[in-house]
Amino acid sequence: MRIPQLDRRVLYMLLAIVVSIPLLVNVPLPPPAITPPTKSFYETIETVSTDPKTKDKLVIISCNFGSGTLAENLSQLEATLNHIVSKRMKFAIFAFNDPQGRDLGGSTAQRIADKAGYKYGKDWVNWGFRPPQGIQSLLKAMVNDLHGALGTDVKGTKLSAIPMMANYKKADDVGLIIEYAASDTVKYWVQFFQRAGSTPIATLFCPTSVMANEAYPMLETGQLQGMLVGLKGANEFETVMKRPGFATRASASLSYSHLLIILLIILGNVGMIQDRKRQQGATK
Amino acid sequence: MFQVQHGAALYTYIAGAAVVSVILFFALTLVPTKLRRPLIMAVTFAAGLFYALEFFWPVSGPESDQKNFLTAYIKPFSDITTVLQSFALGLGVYSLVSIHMRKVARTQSGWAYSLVLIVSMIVMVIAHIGKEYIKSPWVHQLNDFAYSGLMKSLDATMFSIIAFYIVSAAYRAFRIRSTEATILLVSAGIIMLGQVAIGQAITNAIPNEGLTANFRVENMANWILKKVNSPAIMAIDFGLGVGGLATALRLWLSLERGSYFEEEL
Repeated sequence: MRIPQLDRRVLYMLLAIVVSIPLLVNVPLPPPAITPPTKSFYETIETVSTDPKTKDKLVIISCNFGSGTLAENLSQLEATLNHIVSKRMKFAIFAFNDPQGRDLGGSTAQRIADKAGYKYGKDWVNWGFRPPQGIQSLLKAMVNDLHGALGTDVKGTKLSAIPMMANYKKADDVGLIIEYAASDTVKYWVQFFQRAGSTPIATLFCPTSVMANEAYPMLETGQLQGMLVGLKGANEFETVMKRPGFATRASASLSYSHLLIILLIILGNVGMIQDRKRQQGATK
Repeated sequence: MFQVQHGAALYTYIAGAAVVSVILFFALTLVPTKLRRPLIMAVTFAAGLFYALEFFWPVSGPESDQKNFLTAYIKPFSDITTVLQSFALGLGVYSLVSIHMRKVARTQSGWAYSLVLIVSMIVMVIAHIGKEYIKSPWVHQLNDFAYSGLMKSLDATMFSIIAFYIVSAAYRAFRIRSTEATILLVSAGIIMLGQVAIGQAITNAIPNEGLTANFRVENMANWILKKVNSPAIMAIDFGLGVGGLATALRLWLSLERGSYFEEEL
């Protein structure tokens, strides 16, 4: 049987159906396997939140993503921030690559913090957005003086006037960095901040799936302690936490769209082999 | 070194800085053409030298607060960088608006798109900056409509369109035409299956302990990512790093040549 050439509009329609149906109705799916980067991500938060040396230190939630990668990065942020607040860890929202990160991170943090009974300024703070062009020098300045380098929070209040910031003045007061990004911005933390204090700061990374490849070497070298790979990573984390959210629902879309792509690759290649055989037959 | 100012002092400092900047820019325009290049070279070298010296100069003090004599100047340097970038942003906006205004005024081809760009820009500036300073509800409604309602959705839509191109490309272009392409296709298939729950379910029956665990699709995918992909990425990064260092040195020492560096100033 000859495989017919599929029009690209048919392909688009197939993808739209495969992606949207699992989001509209509940499609059963086996639970995901928990991969080593997710396991170590979870264990790092557990360790930092229980170790007497780090449990009272600040967690920097670095939101360097925009609405283009909302499905992946926001799912990761929600899943992990729920874990952070369940451990009663104090955190600061920060953005330096995409101005949208300040609002997306801030509004998500506000919602989760309100539910957990966190008070702004006492339990969490939003440092706001800083332009990416000067980030290297800003991070270097933050190592010894968080208050001086950052100046004010997103509302224009001096950091020195925010109660919780009285305990957090430099890199040594930071216990954990979590970077949520659509690009390789985690390298700035690794290069200029992570090891600039007296002890290395545990650093976790939540990239989009396409950016994860570039971060694997940093996992291997120990510069990153864990990683959630895109929506799949968020789904695994929700499974570990036994707290299903958007990532769990959307993982069915992801699964079936992957299957569709594999099926189309096979169909395309079968069609190519058939054409080749036919051409060879015609030549003979 | 430079303290943050508030109230009247802040505005005085801003006005003073603006006046000094205007005088400085005016003075720079008076510099003879022959001296402009050496001047830029000197400023570039001094700016680069600061960070190089700060990084390599020995530090002293308690272990948690080790500094050298340049460390205190990092923050002012960071601020100067931000201010310079703001000038660049201002120039960019001026250039964009002037080009598109001209297009609209002359009703050149595509003038309607230019008009949309200018109107969108003005609306977004008013809405997004206005919401910080104006209490009136219409500014907030405008911001919700323009930023949350339109821009965020359009941004997400633009990005999601890539998925449709990937499907089309997978069907039309991902072919086993050579040995290399076959290896690529097989490893891509394993990675794709290993990344999603339904793919992982294929090998769920295999025990995840001992030698057999190696045949589970997620473990095969993880092996490819860690043991094949990582060294390749490291090699690329190493090459990029060496290249970046060479380029940085050329820029720092003003040795770079090309269209942006040899034009008449």
